Amino acid sequence: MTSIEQTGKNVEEATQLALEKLGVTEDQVDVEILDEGTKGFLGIKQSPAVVRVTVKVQPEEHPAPRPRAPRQRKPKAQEAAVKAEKQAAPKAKPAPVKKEAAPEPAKAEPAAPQAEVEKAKITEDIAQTAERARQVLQHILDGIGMGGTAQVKSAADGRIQINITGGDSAVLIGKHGQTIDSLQYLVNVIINRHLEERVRISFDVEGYRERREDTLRQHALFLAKKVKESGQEAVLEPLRANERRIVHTALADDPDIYTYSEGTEPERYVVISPKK
Amino acid sequence: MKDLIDYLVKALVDDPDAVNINEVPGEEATTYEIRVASADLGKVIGKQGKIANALRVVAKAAAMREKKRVYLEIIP
Repeated sequence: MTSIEQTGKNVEEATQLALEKLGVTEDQVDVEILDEGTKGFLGIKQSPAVVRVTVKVQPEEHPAPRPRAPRQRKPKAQEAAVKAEKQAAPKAKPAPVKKEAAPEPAKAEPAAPQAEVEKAKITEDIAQTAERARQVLQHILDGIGMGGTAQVKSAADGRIQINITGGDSAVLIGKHGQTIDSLQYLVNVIINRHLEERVRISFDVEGYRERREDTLRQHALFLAKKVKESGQEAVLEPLRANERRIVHTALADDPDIYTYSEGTEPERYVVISPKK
Repeated sequence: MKDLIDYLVKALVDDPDAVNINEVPGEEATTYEIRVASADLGKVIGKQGKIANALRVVAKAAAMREKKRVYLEIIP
């Protein structure tokens, strides 16, 4: 069963994008609205719509399709418990294919509560996923031929962090992190293609992410000062959403200016404007 | 370089056997023609060419070593 989360300007757009990604039609999926999103005003307070689109399982595989009531995100523990229940109930269901490589953790011990067994499996899975991601990245790094060794820094809760050490870090980072962002994007696509539950993989080269965040913040503060002195708006270069957020956050508490984003992706940029 | 592109494209598509990378050497730049199964075209292009562009950036990084420009062309 494939399920993806997709954001978009509104629910309709998000759904459409998700369908394109999955390559299916609307009648083949269940759409669950996680966030309706708000239009906002002048780019302030707007938030994208988020939907989860799940491809319906083939009837022959699952004789009893379980109805999925639209739900709010459940707290983790509750979700795990629900999963454990599901696992316990349909004995007829074949073993999950994806996990074949994972050694069955302590099947003989009936003492362990179901929920905990399930949790152990998930962490094991993500460690495996992390290792696969590392291998893919290492293969690409070797192909680029600028050195660099990939190491898994952490893997938990659907997030994987991989660090690249050594090699020509200037090339591997690229202009404004272009190369590392592209590597990260490609490996995310490659790894998540076959995963039931999406993971988020992020790469870092020699503490670049943190340095970049500092640089952006400094630059934002510098521009804010100029805006206040001149009373004129200032515009930053186009940034990605997460980087724009750093700028907005850095200046959010300044009472003399306000910030908003303008333009369409990938050329969307932050404007710093004086409050009159 | 060709191996790298081949590896990435095959990792992205559903039908890796249909992937064919053709290297066209030029004076200043090398062009790599990428052919995939038509059902997989979207998988190498991505929304608004996002995947194709990421591939280009990675190829560019790899080309730094050879000090030559590199073009990727996805042939439909």
